[in-house]
Amino acid sequence: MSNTILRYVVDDISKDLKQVADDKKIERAQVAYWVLMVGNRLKSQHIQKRDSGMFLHTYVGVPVEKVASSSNPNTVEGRKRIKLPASIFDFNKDRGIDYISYWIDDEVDCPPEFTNKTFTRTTPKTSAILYMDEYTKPSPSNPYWYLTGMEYVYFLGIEKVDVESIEIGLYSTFDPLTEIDLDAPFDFPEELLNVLKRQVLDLGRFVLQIPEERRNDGVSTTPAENIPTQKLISVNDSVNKSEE
Amino acid sequence: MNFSEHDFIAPDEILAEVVMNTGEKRLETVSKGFIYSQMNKCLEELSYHTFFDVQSKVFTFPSSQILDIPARVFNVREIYGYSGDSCTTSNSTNIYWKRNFYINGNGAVARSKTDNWNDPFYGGSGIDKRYRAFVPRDVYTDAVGRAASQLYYYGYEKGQLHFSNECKKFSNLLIKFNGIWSVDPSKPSIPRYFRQVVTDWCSERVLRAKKAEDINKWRLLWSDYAGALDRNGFNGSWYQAESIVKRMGTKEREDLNEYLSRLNY
Repeated sequence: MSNTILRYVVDDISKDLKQVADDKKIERAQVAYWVLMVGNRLKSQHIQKRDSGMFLHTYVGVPVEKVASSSNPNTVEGRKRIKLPASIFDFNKDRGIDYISYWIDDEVDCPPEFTNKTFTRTTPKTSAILYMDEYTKPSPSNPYWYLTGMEYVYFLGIEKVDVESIEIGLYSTFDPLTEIDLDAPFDFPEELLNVLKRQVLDLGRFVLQIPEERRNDGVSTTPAENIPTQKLISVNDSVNKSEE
Repeated sequence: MNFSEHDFIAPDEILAEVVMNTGEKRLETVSKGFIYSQMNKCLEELSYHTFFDVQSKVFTFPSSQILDIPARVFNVREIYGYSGDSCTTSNSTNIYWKRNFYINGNGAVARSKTDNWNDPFYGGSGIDKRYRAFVPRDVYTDAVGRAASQLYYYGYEKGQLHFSNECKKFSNLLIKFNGIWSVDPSKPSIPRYFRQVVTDWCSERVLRAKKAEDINKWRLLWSDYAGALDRNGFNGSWYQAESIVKRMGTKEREDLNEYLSRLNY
């Protein structure tokens, strides 16, 4: 478990930016938003560099639904799918999803199901080729998944069997600011906290350097004498043409 | 088949090694089914090139005298006709191949038939008395004096075996073929002595697929496994697998050597 909570990071940065008094220009929520924004970037780079389970989150009993009626985009009638239980990083080859498997909770003393009935990744287009070979054809013992959009994972091969729920392992992004608990452990590599802090401070400093006149306060600063009062007429207009 | 029916390894054992060899632990470029399919292709190729699998099949003698060769076998090795059933085999006889012999409807045609009626080149054969007086012929009978028309023979046409009239006296046929091996991913189904060649074959094929995605990254490793397999040469696991099959049947060779070297037969 992380030793750090999000509140420490946010308050630390707010204090360094001298934005803690009641006349502060940067709200704490804004700093928290920056921390999550920069944190997501650093965390995604970290996960891709390391073969580690530190930031893998497993969700069990994720319900499989059969879509009742189509709606655009990404909802297709008759297909089986799940709604992703958390937002994921968009890694190459959908590696934001580490695995998906059947999960049966009423068996005892059996090896975990995720070790032998795992789904294999595919894409809607390449899945057509899978049906051309007896061995690669999607089936309950050889099922596939594909991701469409940011929310749904669809399945191939379990159309005719009753799979109520699955287990899924995700590399997920931070929850939205509106849902995050400032006092929960901060799900972030500890060794990158100084990088995170530095980047957020840079961001804050940049924002504070933006001069007041760059901001639109709705007041015109153009001197009155410079404001044209007559209609502008082209030099080629017949009014400006001489006899010669 | 000169190996135990109880000594197979599971396709998953090979799969486990192949995914490690090829950096496909996540099965992203190729699927599990692709690798099973490659195992099957490797065993198919070995079936054709080494004839390692020999299968006996029993058929009820077809009333049409034409037997369709079943799927997943090739190369007829032996044919016997017999009476009785699987418990009591009697009057079993070897059935010989006859050149250019085909069943056609209720009759049969052949380039050389017993009578060869009006054929300017082939004389009649056998002891069919109806023609003896009119047509000069080379009289041929087998060891017990049967005419050619009374012999057991078959011809081959378009995946079918055509049997002579006389074969109708048999109720069953036992035919040995070479089999085309198939891999069942759900159970041990790969002969143990083919472990290395199947592993190398699958590794090479997986890397071939990965090479198609990123040639610079995978060509070197692919080349290693293409060398390890050495499909058309003599220094890889393919040649070793062929050698293993060819070395089998030691007792048959020993016995044959002994028999031939006695010189007093």
